[in-house]
Amino acid sequence: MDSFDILISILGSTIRLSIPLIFTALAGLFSERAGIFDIGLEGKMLAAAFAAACTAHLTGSAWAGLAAGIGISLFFSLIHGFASITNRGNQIISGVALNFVAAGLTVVLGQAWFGQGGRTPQVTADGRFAPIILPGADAMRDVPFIGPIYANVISGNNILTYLAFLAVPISWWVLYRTRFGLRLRAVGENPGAVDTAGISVTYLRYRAVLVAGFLCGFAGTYLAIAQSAAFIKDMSAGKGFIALAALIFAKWKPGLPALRLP
Amino acid sequence: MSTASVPLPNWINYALLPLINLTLAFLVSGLVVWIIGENPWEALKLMLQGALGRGEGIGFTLFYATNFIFTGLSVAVAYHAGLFNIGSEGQAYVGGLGAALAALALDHYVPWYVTMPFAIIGAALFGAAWALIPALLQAKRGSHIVITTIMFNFIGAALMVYLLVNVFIVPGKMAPETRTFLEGGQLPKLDWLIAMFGGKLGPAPFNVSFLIALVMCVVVWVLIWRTKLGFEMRTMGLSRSAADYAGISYTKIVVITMLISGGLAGMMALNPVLGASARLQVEFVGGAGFVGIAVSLMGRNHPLGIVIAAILFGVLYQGGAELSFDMPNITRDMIVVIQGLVILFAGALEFMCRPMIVRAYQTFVKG
Repeated sequence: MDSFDILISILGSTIRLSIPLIFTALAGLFSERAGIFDIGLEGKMLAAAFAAACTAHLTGSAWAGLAAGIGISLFFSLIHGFASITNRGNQIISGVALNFVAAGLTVVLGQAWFGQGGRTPQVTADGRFAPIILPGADAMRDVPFIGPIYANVISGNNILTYLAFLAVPISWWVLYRTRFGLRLRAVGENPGAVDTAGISVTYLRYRAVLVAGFLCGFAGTYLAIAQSAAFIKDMSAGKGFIALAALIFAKWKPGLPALRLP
Repeated sequence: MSTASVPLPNWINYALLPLINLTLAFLVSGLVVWIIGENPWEALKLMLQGALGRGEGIGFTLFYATNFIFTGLSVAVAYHAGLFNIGSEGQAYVGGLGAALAALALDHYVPWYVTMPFAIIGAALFGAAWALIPALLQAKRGSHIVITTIMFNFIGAALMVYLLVNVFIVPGKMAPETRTFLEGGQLPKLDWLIAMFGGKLGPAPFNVSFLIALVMCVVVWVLIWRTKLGFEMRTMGLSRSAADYAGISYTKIVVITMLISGGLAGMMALNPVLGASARLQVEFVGGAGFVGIAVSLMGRNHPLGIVIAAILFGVLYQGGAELSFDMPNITRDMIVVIQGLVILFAGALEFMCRPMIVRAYQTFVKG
């Protein structure tokens, strides 16, 4: 294998491993720009992965799995919002608590329902997000240089991968080009000013936290039924924290914060 | 009128509110048990029986509680200075290295009571050293201490595995652990204490560390509420700008607080390493550092509350282990759920019920 092939395979796996980081880092971006520190990204991702794997196993549909993953992640976000926005509790403690609840609950429920030591059963091919071969990938394969890149790196990923890369410019557009984004950034920097302008800080922050939950749902689903075919105990393995680090590394701006060598 | 500013008597603030939050956490836990198809009431009974039924159970309960007292104190000290030390786990793990080094060096030559002070100092020093870098990063660079201490947990785990596999392993053995300490490196059991109450300790590793933990509770209480340093820490925890204005050095307090916090976490290693297994093993902390967060929040960051909360979590750990024999559906991970719920209700949702209580108080007591 010459060095070009190695480079191609490294690029391919870089993309595959960075998808959950992209989703969660964007989730953290929305939450933290609105002034809600979210250390519970990890837990939301884990809970979403479990829900996605269970639902995909039971229904055999990857999209149902995605919906379940997003649903449970939104639920965790609401708890986080209830604790840190409505009750003005400590945001970090709330996030840490949710991480523990997710880590414990996924294993307890997994063991009780499936009896495989916290694993969920293997999901069938229909229950997973299959690779999408872009048009012309096979024809292009023999073209020197561009061919392998197109066929092995750009093509052949699943739909969530493309959604992740799409989510980056969309997040930028939402944050910097919409009224909602402007207000969201303002509420993070100076909630008093937003309140004076007659905009509800509570409602705005709840929406920001829900957006974060929505994106974490994608990350968890990707882990469980796109990258692998089942939920495994602690499968998020600190990715939520790494995403936070990536977010800080990218100075709280969108723009592919999480795409780095794993 | 807003209810937030209404003063409440101490018995409501420090007894009733925590009790309500705790009850909520356990109600939700019971709900989880019910969802997986077991009887929560039955589970609770089995748990209490397993934890407090016999002398051996009590011994194990108090053994676990000893761990949680140390880590709980560690989290509480940092919390008083407004720092959230989530790295007690890693600090305890590295602290084990200090304790083990002292025992390995001395156990041939001297009895345990000579080794003990060195082991305490070693454990505290190594634990504190592991907290030093996150502390400096927070104080000098403003790096978030929660994230740096979490990362240091991972680094500490990797470092200890490396050391145990490559440095301390007994030649010819497969298990990555140090040699077993001789008598001189083991803390004696407290079987006489259990015997005083008519129980039998049996194989439970309840040992002298428990007494050290209680002494540390008093030391922490004196430090936080009776010294200048403690006053400065609490000032900074309540308002950093006020502390700055009063001439309290932020850097100094952050570093000193984290060193104390890390040292307390490190001392937790005495209990499992010198007290129970008499050797340094992989993953000996077993999540006690994280339980410390729940213990500290539940005990309202007060040593007395921490002892009570630690014993309660000891009951959960020991009872949970017994419970999983009788109800295989309820794995030990249930403890992690309960721990998370306690942190959620006693920490983040601390004041959820306060407005209700205030209204009730105004109607019934003052009305």
